Amino acid sequence: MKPMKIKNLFAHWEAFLIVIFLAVNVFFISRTPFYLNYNNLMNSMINFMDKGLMVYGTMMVLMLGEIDISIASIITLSGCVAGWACEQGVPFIGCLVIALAVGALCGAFNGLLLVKFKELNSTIVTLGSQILFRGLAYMLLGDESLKTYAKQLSGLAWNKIAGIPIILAAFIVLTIIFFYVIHRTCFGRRLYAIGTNKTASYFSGIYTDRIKLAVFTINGICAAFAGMFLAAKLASVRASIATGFEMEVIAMAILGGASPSGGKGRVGGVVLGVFTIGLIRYGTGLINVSAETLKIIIGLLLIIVCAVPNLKQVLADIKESRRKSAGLL
Amino acid sequence: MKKRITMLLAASLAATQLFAVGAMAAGVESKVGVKTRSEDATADYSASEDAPTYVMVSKTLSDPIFIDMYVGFSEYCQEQGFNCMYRGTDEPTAEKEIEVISQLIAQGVDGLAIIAADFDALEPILTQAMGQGIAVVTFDSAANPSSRQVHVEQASIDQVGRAQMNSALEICGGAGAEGTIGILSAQPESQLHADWCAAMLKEVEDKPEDYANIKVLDIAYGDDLPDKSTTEAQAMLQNYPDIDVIISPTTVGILAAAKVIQDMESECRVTGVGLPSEMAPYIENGICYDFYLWNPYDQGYLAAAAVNSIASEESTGAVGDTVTAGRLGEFTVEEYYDGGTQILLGDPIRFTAENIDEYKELF
Repeated sequence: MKPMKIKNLFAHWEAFLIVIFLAVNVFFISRTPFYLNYNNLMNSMINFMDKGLMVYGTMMVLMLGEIDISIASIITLSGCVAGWACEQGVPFIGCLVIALAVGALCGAFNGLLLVKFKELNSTIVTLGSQILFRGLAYMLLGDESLKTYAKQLSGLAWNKIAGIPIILAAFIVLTIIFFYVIHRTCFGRRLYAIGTNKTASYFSGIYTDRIKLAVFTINGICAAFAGMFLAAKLASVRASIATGFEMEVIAMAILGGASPSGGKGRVGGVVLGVFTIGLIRYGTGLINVSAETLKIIIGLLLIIVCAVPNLKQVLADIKESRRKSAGLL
Repeated sequence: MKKRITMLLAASLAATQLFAVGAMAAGVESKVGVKTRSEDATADYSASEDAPTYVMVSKTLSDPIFIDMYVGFSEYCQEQGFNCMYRGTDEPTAEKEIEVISQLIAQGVDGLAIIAADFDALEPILTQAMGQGIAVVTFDSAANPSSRQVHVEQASIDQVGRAQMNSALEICGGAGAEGTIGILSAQPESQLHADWCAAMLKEVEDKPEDYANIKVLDIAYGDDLPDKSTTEAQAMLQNYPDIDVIISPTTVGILAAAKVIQDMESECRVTGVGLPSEMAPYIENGICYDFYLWNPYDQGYLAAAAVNSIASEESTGAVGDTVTAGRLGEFTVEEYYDGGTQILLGDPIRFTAENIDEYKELF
């Protein structure tokens, strides 16, 4: 009965992910002595955690069976507006509020479009808003870079509390909050319900539109929040920052078990997804794998990840068709 | 249906990552193929375990001119018996460069020579590197004065910028002639290119009579990417059919512009900064009037020497310090216009139909 067991392993996504995660770590630890250094590890978090801070928003969007590819542009626009406001003399706290408000507005804009125009696909809508938001940022700042706002944030980037980078602490707090929201509240259960069957959820009395609007707004706020850490890391904001972030964040969420077809994903898995991709980036950098090769690794990993959960279904289908043809004979 | 589309998107997401790499690998190959360069030009050199390790950090790994600089960088390190590496990013963004630099800090390297993708954004990570005793030098494209110890300048920015505008005026027919000039730059974030463009415009401002009938268009940005540069050049030729000159102060841009002009059979001419090996055919068929460059091997060589000079505490990067640079002799650290310090390599070389044959095999 051994083959059954392997199948079960693949069926439990988190278990499979833990195997990948451990394999990645064992591989790097055996290849380079720098990998397990505490300071290096913590500093590597600072490099990939800004994407981790956005992952739960994206995860919730994916749970609904939607996708949002405008998050990178939301980071840029919220950062640029806050940076610009700071130059105009708005106090620092005001700038932070502005950044989050811009993020929420951008997210709500996506959500509203999707709720009001039900025929529209979220890919198309957010593709449009991705270009729109970045365009607005360019209109506001042109080619300038602003430093005042980012300088005041600088502590967020490299400072540590009790040996833990602030950005990692923020990620832990977000993880606890989202774990509670997704797995312990009515709202969370409704997300799974809508993602599994939207029509049925609607007729069982769930306000699907309100929830969709809320999820996209939360996603926008997450992006704006991550944007503060990015601005701190870059010590400046400009209209070209964060390009390409959305793909990596979506990759982390999907690797973590969230599915773009909706109704799937657990916070634990997504945490593993974030660390697996982040540590692969960190480790490959340490053993001097070129950036081009790294793309191949992450691309392949994603394809495998998308294919494996369906393996069981494929096998079952083959068996079924065999049985049918045997029956016919 | 909707679900299927989202699934498709996820699949294409993974696929684009792969295709991008395929395309990039192909690009590198063809670029190397054009030249008579040994295949492992970007290889690490390791002298011994105890020797210091110096790293050249490029903002675009596959850019042929940066690879040429690394050949010089590596030459110095091999002469002196140091370890050296070529590292960098696949796209010129500060986020990616920060990641690469932090991984190099983690490996405990001794010196970094950086082509900065962003003037300000590298400050936190480079301050950290210097705090850990790593020598930090920028070259080609500078980072701001507080994030470096010294900048290695290839040729006076002002001089190269003005010379390009002068060539453009010559193409139009000399002082007082009528004409339209377009500028195709690299990324707006790149300090070097911004400074060159500023120098070009200053030349126009300083000589109002010579340029009285010249119209200079808004600067277009090709981001040092071949496809974007091509699109921008096409747009320029379509929107301004009577354009006379495109100045492109970047190797990627000038090549893209020349190709577009050839394809569209336009009367427009190009000048700017380019690589002799790439531009030779266009000089020969007249599309490229002239272009400027310094010796990228020497530039990389001097950058390596500067890193070593600071790492070995021969100098601190302060004005008046002396930097010994092997076969290039001695250099004195000078003040740089941005408030920091610089080491100046020398004058640029002007390439025209007369001298192109001498250089086209070299770099």
